[in-house]
Amino acid sequence: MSEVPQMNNSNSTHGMKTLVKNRTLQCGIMSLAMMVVTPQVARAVVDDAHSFALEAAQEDVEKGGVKIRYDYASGSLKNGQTTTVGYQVFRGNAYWFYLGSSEMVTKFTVSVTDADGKEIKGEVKKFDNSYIFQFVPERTMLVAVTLSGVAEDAEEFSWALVYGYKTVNQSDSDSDEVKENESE
Amino acid sequence: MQSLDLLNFNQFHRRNSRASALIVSCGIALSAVVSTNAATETPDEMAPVRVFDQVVVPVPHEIFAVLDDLGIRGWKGVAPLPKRPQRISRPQAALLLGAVVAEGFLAVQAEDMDKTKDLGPEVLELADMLGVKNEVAGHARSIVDGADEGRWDDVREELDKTQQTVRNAMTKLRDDDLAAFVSFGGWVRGTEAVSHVILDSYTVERAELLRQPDLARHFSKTLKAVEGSAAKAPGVKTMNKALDKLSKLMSKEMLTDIEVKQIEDICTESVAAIYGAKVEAATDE
Repeated sequence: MSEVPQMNNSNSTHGMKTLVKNRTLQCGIMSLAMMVVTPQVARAVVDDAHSFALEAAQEDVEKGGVKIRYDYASGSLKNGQTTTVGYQVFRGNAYWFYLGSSEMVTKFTVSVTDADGKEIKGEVKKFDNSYIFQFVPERTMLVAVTLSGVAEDAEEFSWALVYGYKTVNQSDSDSDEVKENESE
Repeated sequence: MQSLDLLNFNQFHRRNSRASALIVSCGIALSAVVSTNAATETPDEMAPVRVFDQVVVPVPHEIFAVLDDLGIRGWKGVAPLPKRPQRISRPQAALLLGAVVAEGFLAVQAEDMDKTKDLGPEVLELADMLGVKNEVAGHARSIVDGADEGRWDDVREELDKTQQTVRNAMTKLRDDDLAAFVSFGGWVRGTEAVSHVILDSYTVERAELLRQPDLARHFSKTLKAVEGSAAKAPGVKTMNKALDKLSKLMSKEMLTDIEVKQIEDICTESVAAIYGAKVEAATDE
């Protein structure tokens, strides 16, 4: 898992629909961190993390035609603890992962790896205190999203990882291929 | 393997395949995502082991959409689900509910209004058997209404929500095994349909969509850890054997048409088994 760069959006309010200027980080790998400062918000639970992740997805759904899955991964982590979630992805789709946290100031470390353990390149954005990671898989496989985090004002935090997908134009390059059972 | 004998293709590509990088999932039950137990499992040879705390199972539409984008339109040619037996146990109801939801995705893909509308009440009946009728009632109604008005994206959304709602309810009731059954029923029916459609206009690229060995392994591990009455549900024995075969087949780097047919046959057999068909003997080889 890679060390993360810091992203500091100091005036963002948790839960607001204000779109923090989506800073697109052209990362070779998905490695990032976030710092959002709004200390007076009460401790949240997993559902809050889910809500925040969904908020981050809203624009992609409304304007980008991304279909969000209602199934999502979630849980609680102690600071520094790691968890890994598997997602089956299919070539021909683009995928968006939205990571929300219950804590206002949480520094996340996230790594997405393919079936061979290689880190996957993608586009990283930030929405309030949530992360968005988008990529187009080069093949059908189960990817591993490994995440850990450190909450500034708590020993542990809740997280939720929502994902969405959308087909991408692809050339069916082997469409003329095979079918030898017909020709022979 | 019996399905091999049934195939009658003259030629097919037998490409060198190698074991793909695979995963052994283990972990903890969290949220509605299927989790598996941490237990020892022998991975395929040469396959590095990865450990997952949770695995999110895709819905059929994630593949249907790709095929649809490629101009594949064979959705109505998929054989319908078997007739539901009159008496079914809760574990069987969970399996069937998953299969019926997958059937809903298939009906929506085919834009088959009548079939989609018929599935609404069926979902409700199965949810009733699982003790979650109230939780699902709104989704069932929305499925019927959406189909009536041809709002197919909305129906897809409701199908996804239905599955999620049932699994959440099962998890709350500490019925994690049944929550996993819902996922498995949906996956196996969806895979059966996808195999059928791909075989209709086979290409290596399309067949790649069936390369899901890690999911097969994940389900295998989950099913083998099931205990009590759930372990005795119809089809569990067949499914365990089927998943072992599927994980091997799906590991192949390039799936030939004959292998796609094998996957379809195995899934068809599993679906029949969860509906109570006597197919245990057929897979006992």
